This record gives sequence, C-alpha cells and structure tokens, in this order.
Amino acid sequence: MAEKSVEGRMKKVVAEIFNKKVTEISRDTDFVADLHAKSIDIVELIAGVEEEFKIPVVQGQVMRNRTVGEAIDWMDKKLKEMKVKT
Amino acid sequence: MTIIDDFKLLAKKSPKRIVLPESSDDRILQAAETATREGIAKIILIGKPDEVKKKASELKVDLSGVEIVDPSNFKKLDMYVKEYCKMRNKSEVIGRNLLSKPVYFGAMMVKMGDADGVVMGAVYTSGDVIMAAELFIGLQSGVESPSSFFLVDIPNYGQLIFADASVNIQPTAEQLADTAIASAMTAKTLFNWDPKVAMLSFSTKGSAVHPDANKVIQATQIAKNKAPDIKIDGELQGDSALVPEIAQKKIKGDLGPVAGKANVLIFPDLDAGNISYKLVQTLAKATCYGPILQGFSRPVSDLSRGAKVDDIVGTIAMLGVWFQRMTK
Repeated sequence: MAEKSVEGRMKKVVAEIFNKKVTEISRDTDFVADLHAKSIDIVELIAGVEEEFKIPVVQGQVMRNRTVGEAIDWMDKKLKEMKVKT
Repeated sequence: MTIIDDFKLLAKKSPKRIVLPESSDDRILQAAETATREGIAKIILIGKPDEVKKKASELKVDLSGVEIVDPSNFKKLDMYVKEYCKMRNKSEVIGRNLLSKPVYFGAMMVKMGDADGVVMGAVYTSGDVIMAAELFIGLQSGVESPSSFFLVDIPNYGQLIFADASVNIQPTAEQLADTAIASAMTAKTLFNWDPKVAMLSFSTKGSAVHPDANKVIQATQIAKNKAPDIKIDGELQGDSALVPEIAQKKIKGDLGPVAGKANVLIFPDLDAGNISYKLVQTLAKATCYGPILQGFSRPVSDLSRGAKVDDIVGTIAMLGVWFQRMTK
C-alpha cells in the first residue's frame, strides 16, 4: 500500500536519495551529521520532494531544515497552507 | 585591442556550440543575437520556442541562426535521463525532474557532447552554476574542487592570473593545491602561456613560521605530487614571486623557474585574492576579467548577475576559444 502520511513519504524520498533503507531514517536523522549531505544531495532531494509532493521547492527553504523531522514539519505546514489557499 | 577582442577574432575562426540556459533574461537574448550575427559562436538557447520568440520579438532581437531547444521535447531527453540515473544511481523520476530545469539541462548538453560550453549566471546564483557544472560536467582530471580566476591586465606590466577569485573562502591545503593545478591548466590552454605558479604567503621560504604559511607549503607539495610537470613554487611573498632582484635577495641559491618570474598567483584565501585584485584594479588601473570558473572538464562560465550584453558576448567568445584549445 502506498504511504499516505507526509512523514512516511518524506522518509521514503530521503532514503532513496541517500541510498538508505526507510527504516534507517528517523525524525532525528540529521542531514549533515548522519547522512553526510552535500549540496548535490540537496539538489536531488529537492527534485525528489517536488515529484513526491507535486509542489515547487526553493532551495533556500529546504536548506533551513537540519533534521528529517524538521523537513517533515516544514512540508506538513506548506501543504496545509496550500490547502487553505485553494 | 583588448584580450576579449582577440578572443572574438579567434572564436570566429572556428565557432563553437555555446549553450545559454537563461533565455528568460533580456541580455541573454541580445547576446545570442550579437554572437550569432558576428559569427562568434553557434548559440543554443534553452526554453519554449514560442515564449523565447515572443520575448525576442518584443525586444526586437533577431534570433535567425540561433537554435532553441525545449528540454521537454528534446529528442535525446530519454538518453540524457538514463545517463544521469546511471551516473548518480538515482531513479528516473529524479533525473527527469532535474533535466527539466534549464540550468541542469544546459550543463548536461555539454556533458553529452551536444554543446561545447555553457554560459550562465545572469539569473542563476554562483552556487547553482557551480552545482550544475560539478554534477553534470565534472571536474578535470587531477582536480577535486573547482575554483575561479581573474585575468589581470596591468598597464606597463602585463597580464597575470589571480586565483582563487570567488569560490573557496578559506581553502584547505588540498583545495589550494587544486586551485594551483587548475590555474596552471587555464594559463596553458586558454592563454597559451608557459605557467609559472607562485603560492603566495606572508612568508618566503621559511622566513616566518606560522600555521598559515605551513598550509601554503603543504599545498605546494600536494600540487607538486599531483601534477609533477607544472612549474610551481611556494611559499613566496608577492615581491619574491614577481621581482627577480628581490627573489634573489630573499632566496638563497637557485631561484628555480618560478620565483621572480611568476605569471600565475595563487592567494592563500579569498580575502587575500579579492583584496589584491581590487587594489591592483584601483591603484594600478588594471583591467580585471572574471571571475571565471576553472577546474571543470569543459568550459563553464558563471556570469556576474550584473553582466552587460558585451560582457556576455565576450564570455561566449572566450569559452569558444577555450574549447578550441582544450580539444586541439
């Protein structure tokens, strides 16, 4: 069954970009300290997030998220804001 | 005649395919028109043909002879996506998303041999340009981090290369060594010089003992190990690098091929490089061309976002000549 929650979908994207299993990704996973994210990974992460959530993402916004949990909360908020607008 | 005029003349002899991904910018369309009309390059614009032509018509820009490529309809798109996914071990959806963006698509055209060089940076930030170049075009052999340089043309003196000019703020010894190797390659391929690379410091051959001087000594050694054929020396002060009489006073014994005769100056950090070029520009009335990216396996330019149309045309000419000489 396809993952529906923002948390699950975000973890799936992060796991793919960093070549990890979804079970290895938690809310506390730190992009730099744990996943050793480089700029190239962030560009690909943005591409993955854009495709998964079907929204355009600006690099500066996503760079503010230090952990996967922060990225999940940021996306959750962004999706809710978009719902309000539509 | 400026060096850019020389590049324009040389570029016309064998016009190369230069891709301009930022077709939404007025200056890019104007530069595309000029470069095509003057026979400097075969220009490829990235964008939706209808939108590009509409904008050109509003600007009264004639795009005859300019190729307009729409990534979504490009016949080799599937091949590009496949190549990207193979290169980065990523799914098709990631590759397709990235290659829908002009900055990455333009760089990929260079990688795949469908363009010879890419000029961007009028709209995209330096970070975007460097990322696209690193990701798609790749670095030249023996170099692990990109850098940039200025060509500094000093009245009554001559021309020097100053590096790094804009990329590495506080370089490690390894990055400094890479900047030296890339600058030597630039001097040789782009300017046809015999490069003599000075690794600058506030110390000449141990005259001061400090970790910063040690970093330059270490970088010199790394560069020598990685590229044994280049003429490189350090650590040297500015005068020891440029003035033979002073080099002779400060260095005991044989000066070697660089001290007192350097034509490529590698600064220990971006503070030193930036301050130096600004001082030479202001006090010696030097003309400074750049910053120009180097260290990539194919020519890439990161324009200043304030670049004028003439600057863009000059950059297109320079990149064309660079490719001619890289592949000679």
